[in-house]
Amino acid sequence: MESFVHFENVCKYYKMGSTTIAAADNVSFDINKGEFCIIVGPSGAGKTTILNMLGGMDSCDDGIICLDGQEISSYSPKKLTMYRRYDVGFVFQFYNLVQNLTALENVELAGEICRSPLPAAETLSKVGLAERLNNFPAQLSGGEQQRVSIARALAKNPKILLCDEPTGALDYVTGKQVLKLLQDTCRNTGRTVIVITHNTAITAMADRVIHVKNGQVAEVEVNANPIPVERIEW
Amino acid sequence: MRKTYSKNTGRTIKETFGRFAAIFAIVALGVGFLAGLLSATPNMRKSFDIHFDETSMYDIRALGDLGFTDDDIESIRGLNGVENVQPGYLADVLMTSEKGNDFAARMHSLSQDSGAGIINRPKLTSGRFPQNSGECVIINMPLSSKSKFNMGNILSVSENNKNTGDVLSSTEYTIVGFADYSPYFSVEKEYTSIGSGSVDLFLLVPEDSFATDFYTDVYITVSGARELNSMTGAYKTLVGSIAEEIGQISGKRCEIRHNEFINEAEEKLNDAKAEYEKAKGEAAAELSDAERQLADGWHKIDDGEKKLSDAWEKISVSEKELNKNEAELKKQEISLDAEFEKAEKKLDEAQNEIDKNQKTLNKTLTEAQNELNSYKLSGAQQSSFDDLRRLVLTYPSLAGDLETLQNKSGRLDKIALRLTEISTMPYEEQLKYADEAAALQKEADMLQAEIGKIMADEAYAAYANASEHLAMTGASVEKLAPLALKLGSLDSAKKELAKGQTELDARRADFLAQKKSALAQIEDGRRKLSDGKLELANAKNTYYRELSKLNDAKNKLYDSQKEYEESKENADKELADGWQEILDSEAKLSDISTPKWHVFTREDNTSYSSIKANIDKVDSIARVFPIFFFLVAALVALTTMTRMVEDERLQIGTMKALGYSRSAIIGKYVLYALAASSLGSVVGIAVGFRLFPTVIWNIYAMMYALPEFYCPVNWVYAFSTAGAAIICTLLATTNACRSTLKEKPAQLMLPKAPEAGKRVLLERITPIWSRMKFTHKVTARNLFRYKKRFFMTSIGVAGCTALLVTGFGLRDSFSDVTGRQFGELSKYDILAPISGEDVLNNSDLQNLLSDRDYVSGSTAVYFENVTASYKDKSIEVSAFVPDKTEDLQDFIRFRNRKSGKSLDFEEGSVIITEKASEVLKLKAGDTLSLTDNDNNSGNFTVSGICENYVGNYIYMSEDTYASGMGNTAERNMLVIRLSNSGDEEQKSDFGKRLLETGAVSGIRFTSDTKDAVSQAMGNIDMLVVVIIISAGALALVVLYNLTNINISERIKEIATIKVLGFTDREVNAYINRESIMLSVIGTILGLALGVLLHQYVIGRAEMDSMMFGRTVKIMSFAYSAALTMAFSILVDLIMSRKLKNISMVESMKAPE
Repeated sequence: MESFVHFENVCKYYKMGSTTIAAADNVSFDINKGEFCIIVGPSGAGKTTILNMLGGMDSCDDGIICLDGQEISSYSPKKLTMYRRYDVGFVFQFYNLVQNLTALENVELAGEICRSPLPAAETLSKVGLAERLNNFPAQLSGGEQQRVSIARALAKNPKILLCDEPTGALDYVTGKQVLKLLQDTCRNTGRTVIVITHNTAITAMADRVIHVKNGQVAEVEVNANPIPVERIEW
Repeated sequence: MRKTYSKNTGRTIKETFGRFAAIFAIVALGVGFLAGLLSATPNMRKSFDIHFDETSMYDIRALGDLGFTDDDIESIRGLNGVENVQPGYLADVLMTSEKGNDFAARMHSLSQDSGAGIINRPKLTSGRFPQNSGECVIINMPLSSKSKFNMGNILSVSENNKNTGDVLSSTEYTIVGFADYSPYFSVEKEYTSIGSGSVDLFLLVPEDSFATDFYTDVYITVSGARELNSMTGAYKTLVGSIAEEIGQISGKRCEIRHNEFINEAEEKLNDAKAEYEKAKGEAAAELSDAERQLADGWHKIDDGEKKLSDAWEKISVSEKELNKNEAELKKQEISLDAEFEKAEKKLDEAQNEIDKNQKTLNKTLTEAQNELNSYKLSGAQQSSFDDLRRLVLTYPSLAGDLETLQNKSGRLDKIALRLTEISTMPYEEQLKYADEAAALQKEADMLQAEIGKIMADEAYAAYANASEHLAMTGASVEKLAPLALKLGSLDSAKKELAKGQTELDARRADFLAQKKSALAQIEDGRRKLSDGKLELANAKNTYYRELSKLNDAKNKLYDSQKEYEESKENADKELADGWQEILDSEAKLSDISTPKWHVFTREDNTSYSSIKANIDKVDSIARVFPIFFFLVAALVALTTMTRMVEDERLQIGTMKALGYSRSAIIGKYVLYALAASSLGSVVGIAVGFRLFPTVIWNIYAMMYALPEFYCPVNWVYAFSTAGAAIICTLLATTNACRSTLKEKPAQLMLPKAPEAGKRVLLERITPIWSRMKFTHKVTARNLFRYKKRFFMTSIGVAGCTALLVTGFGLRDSFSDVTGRQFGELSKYDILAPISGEDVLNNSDLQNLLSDRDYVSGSTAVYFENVTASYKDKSIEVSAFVPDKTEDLQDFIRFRNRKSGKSLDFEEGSVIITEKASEVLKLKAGDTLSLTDNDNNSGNFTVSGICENYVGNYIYMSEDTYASGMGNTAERNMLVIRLSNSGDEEQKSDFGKRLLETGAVSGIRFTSDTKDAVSQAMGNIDMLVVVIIISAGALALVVLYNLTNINISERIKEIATIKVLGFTDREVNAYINRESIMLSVIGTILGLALGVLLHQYVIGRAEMDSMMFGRTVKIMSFAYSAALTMAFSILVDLIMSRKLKNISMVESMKAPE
């Protein structure tokens, strides 16, 4: 079976004055469809760069990036916008909800531009916010906000869910709940979920763990028996 | 630490350069505009003051009705406070250019420097000053002179001038130079009573060009006035006091001058009278002489005529006689001819008779001869026969006897025969014829007797003898005797015939002689007749010659007579004219009231007052408008800083946590704000102080000969405006910092709790809300949620729109003045003052006014400046009082501006113009009082308020005026409407003709006022363009700044929706919809605000004597809105680049 996500010798350079820093240096890995994948590494290792490139927010300078057989590394900026629009769901560390919209509206905001969005209210109920549909972000806790964020990503019915440190701004318990929601989503909907984190402790819950260090893939670890997040302590 | 600190500040500037630049630009604009406009008018005033001081322009000018004498000048010089006095000459004359064009020129004398300096020193711009009396310098005026004339051109005093002969000593003036002359520098017309009513050309000529023995005007400078700015109240007060002093001495001086003048004039008058009398006497003598000569001439003519007529009578008598003679002669001739003919005929008849007798005689003779010859008589016989012949001849009776004898013998024979017969007859028969036979016998006896008796005669005997001789010849004597008798009678007949012939011949000769003498007589008569005719013809010729001579003489005399009559008439007329002149002069002299001095200050100078009014107008706009402008700028700068500080709360918290003092933290932002605002102020001042005043100054270059522009930086304005701008921003900055710093560092370092989303009012209106597109809902909520942003943006935009509306609205208001005043309300073309009602009977004037080629209508009104008062307010208005109210309807449209309805101007109506009613604060139905210059006053109830822009008027009928004021309103002003008011040539031609009638003392063309007003308005219009451009620039900067702030505050949100897959267009729409909505709201607010601001500025800009349009036109709103929206869209376009460049990575960043 062909891999769902395919990175092949992907390089990304940033010029800082006279020196060139390779944020991604010959990164190659594959992720299968329906997998829960965690990309882990210390700060500045290049995880976010990889996620940005995969999420169509940034382009690579070299190499090939494929998603579901489409070579997105060759996409034009316009095509990339469409790609983000239809294929990618993104969960931000700081939720990035539009403060001026209710939870429901934030989800609808994303759904509005999609071809086959999931019903917003339903999606929000699924993430456990059936009671908070009409609350503004400021009226929600961090965890709730992140759930809205996830619901917003899911409502787009994307091929892939990308999460950038989704628990970074959350406390332990809430973080765990969010991770569980993500894992459940993966398991229940078969949607490929990629989570970026610097917390190696949670790697055990992933089907696949990609260790990144200094812009390179240090190790790809396939976890045959991922542990449900509830059982992980850190 | 300091180093990092300042590095931090510097870096902040660099990072937020757009914001820094915006504050800089806004402050620069605000300060530059405010400071520039504020200093424009002081600089303008100062520039003129410097110019006036440099050229020593007069402070006071006086004109005298009878001029000034040296004593007058000295008495003025003697006044305290008078610095310098300069008498001069002035004359308005018509001049003709080399091309033959006529100009109304004003000539001023060029004074010599008497040591105290020259007042009104002209400044040569080219050429040289005149040296001789035939030279002149032309005063430079804007829009004119130089283009028309060149150096060396000659101007000659026109022959059309009436009374200049004795004023000027030269009639031709060569242009030797051009100069600026401070009393005249405006295009506004100076009025005169010559030409077409306004001065076309100003000349400076040497003093000796004037030939009058008194000065016509005096220029005065006031001590200490030079040091004052001449456009200030202090100057006005100082000069005013001196002017008043001059006015005070004028009474006494004028009295003296008056007496002097009257004496002089009376002397002259007396001389003139004497001269008149002398001339009258001379003329009378001359005329009577001529008359006498003429009478002689006529007398002679009469004589000649009589002689001629006598001659003619003679001629006609002799002619008649001659004719009679001729007729008689002719008659005579005819009768003579007839007589002659008759006589000739008689003669011829006689001749014929004779001839016939001759012929018969000859024939008888021949027959007798032949008979004789047939007898062949022998000689003896012959001689017997001859004897017989002789016998017969001797006895003529013998023949008779013979014949009787023969006859008796014949009878006897017969009787014998018969008797025989009878005797032979039977008896019985005899018996029967016995008687007869007896008778016959008796007769035969008697016959025998008688024969016997005859036979007894001797002659018979001879005869018988002869007969016997002859009887032998065979022929009986019986036969020969008659023959001889015959022959004898023939001979005697022949003799007798010859005698008759002779007699006839004698008669003929007699007749011929008679005829000849008669013919000669006739011929004589004829000759006499023709002689008479010739004589007559000669006499006639002579007569005719004499007659023609006489006629010539007569014609000549007639001519002389005519000549005499003409010269008499002329002399009479001349004398009458002379007398009238004398009477007029006398009347005038008695009319000459004590003369007056007319004392003028610079305020009365057309150019000066015009520029002053214009500067005041700029002032009124420049004071209100830029302040608002500045307020908008300050508001924007202020909010920009506030929001910057709020944006940087995390950093503030960090620094506070790091232990930086409050002042250090505030310092950073103060430094930032200070740097931006002071840099902006410096640039604004540097540019604004030069740019705006210079632009405004140059606007006026069209209308005025401008002096050099004195344009220094006005430090008071510089510091106050810059200070205000800087303090505003700094206060805002420190205020924002302070409120931020009140929070604990920990709180500060936490992301500021996002403002709670709120339901906006619109959501409650479910039908609308549920139908709105989702993104529109976001926009709506965003708009109302960020109130600060909302208000700041909309107020900023509203301010700019309001400025634009005001700018465009000012243009509307100004264009209304000329457009409505002269296009709709004032329909007359000329106002011409007349000296009195009787002038209206001037036939030249009447003819001219009824010439429909020129004039479409005219009327005369009473026109007087009066003071109108209502409650505690008063204003100068011009009373316009027609004879009949309907007279005025054709010349002025009465309508109320607010209602737009026409006002009925009827008997008893009192209509006042709108501006006056506003100043007086009265409305229709209120009663105001009018006071004229002679302190007559009256109360009038205003019946209507009419739209009017230029000047203030009150209209009412003569009756109304007279009954209110108690004195009559004598017409003193002609109001004329032309047929072709657009035809400049015709108009000035008409003006010239109107002045030539002598009926009017001046002409005011409505078009001149219109030109002056529209020029002034045009200048303001340019100022408005400057304002509009500035407002536009401000709008652009404000919009840019506000949008910039809005975007930079929402970068994360934008990055997020980009990550969500919004296309660039969708992102633009998401953001722009908001800013467009804000602009729309701001624009709508601004339109409303603009109306108020416009109203306010107009209220400030209006003078008592002029109203501006009060309404902003729809198009101006449209322009303002469109411009604002265009700027908004332009800014959005610029911003879309920025939006595009926002990195999605921003979305990953922690909230600040």
